[in-house]
Amino acid sequence: MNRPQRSGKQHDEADVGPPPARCVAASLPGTEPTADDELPPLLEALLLAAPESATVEQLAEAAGVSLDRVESTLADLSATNHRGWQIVRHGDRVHLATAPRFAEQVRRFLGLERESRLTGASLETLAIVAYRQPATRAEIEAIRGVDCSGVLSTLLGRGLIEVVGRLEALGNPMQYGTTPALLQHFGLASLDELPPLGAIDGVAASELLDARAASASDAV
Amino acid sequence: MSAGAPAPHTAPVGDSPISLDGYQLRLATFEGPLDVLLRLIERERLAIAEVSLVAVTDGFLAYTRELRNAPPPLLAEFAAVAGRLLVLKSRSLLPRPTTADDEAEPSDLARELAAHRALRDAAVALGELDRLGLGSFPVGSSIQRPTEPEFRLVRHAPSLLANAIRRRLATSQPSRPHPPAPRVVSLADMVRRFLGLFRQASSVKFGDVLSVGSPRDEALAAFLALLILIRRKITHANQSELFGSIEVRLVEAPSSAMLADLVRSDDLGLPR
Repeated sequence: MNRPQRSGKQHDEADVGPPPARCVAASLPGTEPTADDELPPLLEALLLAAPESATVEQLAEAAGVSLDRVESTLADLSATNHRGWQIVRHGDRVHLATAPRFAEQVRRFLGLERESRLTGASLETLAIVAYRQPATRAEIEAIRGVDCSGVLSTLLGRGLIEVVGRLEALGNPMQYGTTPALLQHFGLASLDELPPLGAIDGVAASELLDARAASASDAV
Repeated sequence: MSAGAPAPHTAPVGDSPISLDGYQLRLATFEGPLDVLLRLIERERLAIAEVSLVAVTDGFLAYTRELRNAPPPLLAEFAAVAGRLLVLKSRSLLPRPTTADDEAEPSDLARELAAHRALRDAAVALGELDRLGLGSFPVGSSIQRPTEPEFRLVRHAPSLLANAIRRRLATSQPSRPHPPAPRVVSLADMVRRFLGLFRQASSVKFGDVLSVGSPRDEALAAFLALLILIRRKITHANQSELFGSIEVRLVEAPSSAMLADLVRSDDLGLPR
């Protein structure tokens, strides 16, 4: 691992298998195929109307086009940065959100206080979860070198991380992953926009973190 | 090192700065021995390698000795790291043949430290993002209503409060006279009033006992007094028609003893 998973890749590999490129519309009687130039505004309309994050599959079904066309159109829309909104991807879920450069003005408009800054302990824990999710508490503690129960509770309470599963190992420890709220907090369009992990003494940081996390798994 | 640490100890160790060879380490900023070790290495501008760990061992041990009031689990972690450093240091001091593996493989502690630094760098980058305060708000975010300002208690010296009260009293207007209290008519008063009327005539009308424009409670008191007089067989009352005038007739004037007894408010035959 350990760049955060690219959303599209995750979708293709983890959720729906190899790229199916199927046209859902073919199974919907009365649905006309959407023209290329109409697809971007249509996706915008769907995302505006969606009460919550929509999956790529839901968008494809509603637009009557293939998953691949939705993916490529979403990528095109994400590349345009002159708008007041951005397309946010978390896993295979997509939603529209305001552009981060207008955060202050939007916050004022919504009457929101700026959220309190994260502490060093929270940032370290969040970094582990974000860069190598899913992560168990033992893995996080092996990397940080200190007990993390308190800071995990804090991050869970703020909705920045959530339990995404359980490790198939002794004790079935809980695995933590990031939430869309994390992207909103930092104003990111996807986990790909997290600052890149560097290298320490010539060794990729991701490898170092993996090795420490593996030591925790060995201990289990 | 701490994957199974039994007790949470993410809280800062303490608040007082510790002087270490002229280098101030503020304990509140450190969370564990790796952090301290990493900063010691960085202070010396060394790379994370076994040789660097050996170089900063003395500093780390001095730091550990200075720890005060640290929770026992954290002290144990510092002691564990100190023990590993001592192994490295003694290995470097004692002559022993060097194998190719020793040269190539960094110690576990060095790898652990490198991972810790990688994490710290990532956290610093995230912290910078956090500092910028960028945020993104999803479609459908609701507008918050302005909340009432919170009232907070503030500390004031009693003399200030006393002065404030004095100032207020000095500028306040003289209070207006209270409106007169409504006149209270007791049952005994009403009994007396009835008996006073009977001195002039043996038969009176109920309305005669009431003054002009009398309030409702006075009428109630008069009616209760009438009932008492009827019960004591002092008077007799007759109402010829519904809502008509009540004619009250004296049957037997009460003796002075009975009268004294009658006007005692607690002996009017009312339920207690």
